Amino acid sequence: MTKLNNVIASSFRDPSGSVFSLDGCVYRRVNDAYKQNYDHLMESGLYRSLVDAGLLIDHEEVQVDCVHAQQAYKVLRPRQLSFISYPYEWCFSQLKIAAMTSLKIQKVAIDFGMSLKDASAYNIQFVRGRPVLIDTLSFEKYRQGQPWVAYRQFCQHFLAPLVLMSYTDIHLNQLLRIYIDGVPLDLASRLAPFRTWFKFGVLAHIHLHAKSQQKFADKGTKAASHRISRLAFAGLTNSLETAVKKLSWKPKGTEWGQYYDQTNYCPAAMEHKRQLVAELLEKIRPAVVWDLGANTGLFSSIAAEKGAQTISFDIDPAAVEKNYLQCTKRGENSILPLLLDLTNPSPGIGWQNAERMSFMARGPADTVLALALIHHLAISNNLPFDRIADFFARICDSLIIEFVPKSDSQVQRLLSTREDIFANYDQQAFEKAFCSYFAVKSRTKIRGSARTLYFMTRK
Amino acid sequence: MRIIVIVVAVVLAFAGELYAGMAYGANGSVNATGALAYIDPGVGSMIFQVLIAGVVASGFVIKIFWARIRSFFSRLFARGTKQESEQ
Repeated sequence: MTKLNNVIASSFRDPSGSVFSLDGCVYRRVNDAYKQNYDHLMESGLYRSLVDAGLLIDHEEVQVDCVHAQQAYKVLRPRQLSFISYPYEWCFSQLKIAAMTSLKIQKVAIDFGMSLKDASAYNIQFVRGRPVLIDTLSFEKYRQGQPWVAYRQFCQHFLAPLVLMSYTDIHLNQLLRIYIDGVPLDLASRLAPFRTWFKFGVLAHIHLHAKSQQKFADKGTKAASHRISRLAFAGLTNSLETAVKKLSWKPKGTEWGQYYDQTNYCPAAMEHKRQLVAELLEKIRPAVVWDLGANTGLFSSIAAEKGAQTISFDIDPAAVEKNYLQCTKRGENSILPLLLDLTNPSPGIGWQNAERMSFMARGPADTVLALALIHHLAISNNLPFDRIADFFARICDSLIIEFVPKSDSQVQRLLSTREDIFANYDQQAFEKAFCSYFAVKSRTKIRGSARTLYFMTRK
Repeated sequence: MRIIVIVVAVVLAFAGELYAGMAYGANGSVNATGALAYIDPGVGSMIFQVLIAGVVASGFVIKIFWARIRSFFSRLFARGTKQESEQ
């Protein structure tokens, strides 16, 4: 019997195979065209070596009864991922470690007589805190003399955005949201400051590379006529690795970097809030928590302690960077910090707006934490309470939300620079709007503050 | 030194292009030219890769060689220290 099935829109380009979902499980189909490469991957020891090193997603070969599995060479059931994130949601260090991982995989692959035919940033996912290649069909047998076919893709997906984030502006990773196949190198070359012409890696792989693309853009040439030695092939990987390694970014001057030092909470109020959130999470026991406006992840770590897979979203690249570096340092693997502007969250992009999922399409989460967030949505962004409630009802089953009244000094700070047109911004209006979508299970005043913590479940 | 050599080599290789770029003015980029849909940046990438891979390979050889020299001397030194401590 053919069951309900669905080919995943990000995989239709690859002639080697495709990805489909069946009964909530994701499978990878291997086509006959990829048979030799797949067999080599499995039999050469490359697969085992990469999986053991935590660099490649593991899978099992399975038999499934589905139209997309028909006439397949193999059907694989990879380890299932709970959340897919995209490079335009990663902080600097996440993109950098994803780039280094791709190059590490390429180096291991060469030792086993294979090479990456794709170096797409979308093929890397953070699985329990570590970057892992999820596209098992990314490898091809290395033929002596062949250039690295994914060289341009690596430069566009990894090196160019990293260079721009490091040298020009941290927000330029958002170019990846516009250019689905990575930042065009001529654009990167023009945006990168003059001093990058004196950095060998950037000069070679971005500036001169872009010039070369421009020079040969309309000149036909046979790929087979270009050959590089094995040594040059290794040298190229090494040069890219050095170029990436040298790039750095230190958070400074962004708006939320020292947020926890600037809140109006006295230590006792903060402690009470932590205790309340911990008690609620203990009661709910959610498997997946989205912490919205997470800053550097103080409350995300409480969710992680309670065993939840936690996605820690914030709008500020500095906060996400700090959060990620802290998680790495602590060996915290249940938290994934990501960059997200809630008022303009990641859209569905690519062919038919479906190759990369929107933020909302990746939900709902079991529980959403919205702590010290409501005033930013309602006052800074003029969003009416009922729209905010509607939004939360679409992305979670239960909600832990903090109401911050007008009398609060942080709200007063927001109002000091704008006209107070928010006559309806009070606790009563807040409750009324949220009660249309949620059932309020508890409301507790946070001691030593004017704020209230609500626990609600979706109606 | 290596960087100077590379810059000179690549500037020579692209001299014609740089000249053409000046004639184009600011609009001489790939994306700004007319027939965008028919332009394949992959060709230039492939040709450039062959060129740059050759250049970086020499540096790579030196790097490997240097690491070997260092490890040889560090082993020699370590052995010397060990013998001294045994005496």
